[in-house]
Amino acid sequence: MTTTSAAPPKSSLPPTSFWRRAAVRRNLNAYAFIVPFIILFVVFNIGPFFWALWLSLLRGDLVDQVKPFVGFQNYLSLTTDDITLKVFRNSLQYTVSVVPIAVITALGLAFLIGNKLVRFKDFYRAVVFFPLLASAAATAQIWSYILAPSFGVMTYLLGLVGIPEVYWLSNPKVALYGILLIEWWRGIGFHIILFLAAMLGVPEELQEAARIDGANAWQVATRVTIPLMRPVILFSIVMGTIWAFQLFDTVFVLTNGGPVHATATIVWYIYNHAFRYGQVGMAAAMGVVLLLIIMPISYVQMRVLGER
Amino acid sequence: MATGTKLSRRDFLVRTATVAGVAAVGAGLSACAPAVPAAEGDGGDMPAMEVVTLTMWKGPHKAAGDETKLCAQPTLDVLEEMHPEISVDFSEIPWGQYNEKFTAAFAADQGPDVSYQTESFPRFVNAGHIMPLDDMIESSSFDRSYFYERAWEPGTYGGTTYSFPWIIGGSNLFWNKDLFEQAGWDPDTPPDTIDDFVAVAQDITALSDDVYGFATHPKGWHENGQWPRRFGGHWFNEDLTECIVNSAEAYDGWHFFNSLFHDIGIAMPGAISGQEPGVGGYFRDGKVGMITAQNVFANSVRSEKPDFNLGASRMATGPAEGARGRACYGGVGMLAIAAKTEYPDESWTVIDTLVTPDLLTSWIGCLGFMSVSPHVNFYPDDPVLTTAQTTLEYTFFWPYRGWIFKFWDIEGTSIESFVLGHRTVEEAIEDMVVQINDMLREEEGS
Repeated sequence: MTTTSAAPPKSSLPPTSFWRRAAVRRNLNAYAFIVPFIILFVVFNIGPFFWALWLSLLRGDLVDQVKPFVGFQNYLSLTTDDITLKVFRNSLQYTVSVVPIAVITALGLAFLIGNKLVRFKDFYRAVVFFPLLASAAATAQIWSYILAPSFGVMTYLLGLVGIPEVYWLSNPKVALYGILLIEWWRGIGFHIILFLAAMLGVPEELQEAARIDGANAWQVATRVTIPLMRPVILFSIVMGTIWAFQLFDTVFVLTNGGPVHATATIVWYIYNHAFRYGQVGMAAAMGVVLLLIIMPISYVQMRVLGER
Repeated sequence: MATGTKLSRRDFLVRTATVAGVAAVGAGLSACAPAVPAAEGDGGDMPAMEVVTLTMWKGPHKAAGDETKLCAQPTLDVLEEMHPEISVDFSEIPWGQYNEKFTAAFAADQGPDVSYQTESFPRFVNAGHIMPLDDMIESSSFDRSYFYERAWEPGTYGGTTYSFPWIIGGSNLFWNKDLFEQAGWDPDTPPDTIDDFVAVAQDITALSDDVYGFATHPKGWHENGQWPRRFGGHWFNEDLTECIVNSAEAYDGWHFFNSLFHDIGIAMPGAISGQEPGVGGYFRDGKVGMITAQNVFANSVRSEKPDFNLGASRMATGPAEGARGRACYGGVGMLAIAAKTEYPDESWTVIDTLVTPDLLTSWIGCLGFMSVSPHVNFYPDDPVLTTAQTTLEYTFFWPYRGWIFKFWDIEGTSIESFVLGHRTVEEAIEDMVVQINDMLREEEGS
């Protein structure tokens, strides 16, 4: 879809003070509507952001009345702490695994559900979206039984096809992928719903033209539909990446970072420093580093959506 | 009231937005304000009695909501009858949210008037959020010998008492009498020595492929950390400035513990026991002969499987002399008063009343813990829990320090790494000691 916009007429008023500008005065109503949001946004987002920056330069417990200023000491400590390096590695490994898997499988399932031959589409949409609505803690608890050794459903199903018992959450080499499996199940509905909506936006006549030109279903999908869904797919990748770096609930409930820190993630470690270890400065420093990782990704997102 | 001034649409929107903004900020600020004490009384001729409402937080020791329903509220009802000027607003704080709730509340000077505290309590003491109790104890002539002497230690810092002992708990050996009998052992006689322990466990393990003589969670810091003690090792030096759990005696304990999994093979593999239904679940389901667990575990087994043939005793003794040979986890749960409370006298009344024999039995006895007072026996007619009470002499407390959670994480992960076969005992223990000593240098300034 394209939009046309005329350039706004230049104001006849000289650019004096902010309040006297015509554009500002003309949009006062709009500003009035967004003021409550702006206030809350400043109080709950901008304020805490700068507070976290300040905390990252201090040492001590969140409950301490006085926290000594230590400059960049917390940032330096991050570089020498083995567990910090491990959690950053885990988060990266998890992100580069879960995002492509989730996006590709979601795309495949979206094509399946969106197929004209498939009936009860709304039912399938609801089914795939349902896990996203359930509480993370509750679903994690359910999955702990599904993945349990000896009597777990997954162990039973794999046993039917001759695959031996897998210690999904207690083998350090496998545990991160056990978490990945659960998070994939929880998050895939979001991607599918996005893709289904994007597929509706692809002009039917383009697909029709491709078919007339002799393209088969695979070619229509890969050469027409998917390229036209590109901005949504990119948005999906960006959001998936941000969420992957923020992984916490499932790890906290199911493995608490174990076994042997195999599932420890950045946010899990931030939580421990802030609320269990009494080292809020370290927690804030890690939060700032996480921001520095996520910020370029958000920048890409804004650029891509801006182009759209 | 009309003023004759016409309100334009724009003015209306601006004013509405301003009011909405002020209301939003006001609502946010009011949420942070301390609760106003409730004043009750319906007037009439009687002078209205000022009723003070105190907040009280505690981590649950039963399934969510059950402690409030079965133990706390009936106890608090009696307390409020005894002291009609006090109302207690009790909340169970789930353990999963315990740290962030307390940290956030005390950081904002909004801590509960009365709170239940455990090993990480010193964080709040050091930051000045907990009220010293010595003056109140003196002025009320409270007899300190009412509690076990060692129960006072965890709440005392620099000679000042910051909390009242309330709960005392410890671990002991639980065994499945039916499995003992099937393995040809006397079901009423627990193993006395480590050698007996291994012999019984081997016979139970031989019963079936999926039955084990012993089980423990691979990351169970409370239970697994006792093995070096049973062989004569110590975790720390006297002044808590150095971790010394890599001594020769301690290593004997670590190696013996490791052999239960990898050499003797009588322990359920850690990859299984660490997952659902957990050590307790496998024990309850008859898959495990012996475990060490906190004494409240007896209650959960009985409620989940009333016909379970349960035995409880002190742990089998290792080579260490005296109580150390049978070392088990122990801990004290305490009642503390917030330094910023507006009602210190009423808060003192609450904790002073909650430890009286009847109310102690009504709440803590209901939970299945042991009595913190030698003068109060919760379970005179229950041989299992009475035995558990006698095992308190073998319990060892972890240090009550602000760094305890970090210590447990280091300890648990290191032990888990050799139980799961990820590292050797030496690699895991040496790395653990280095990490703990780094932490002590940072936290204790040693």
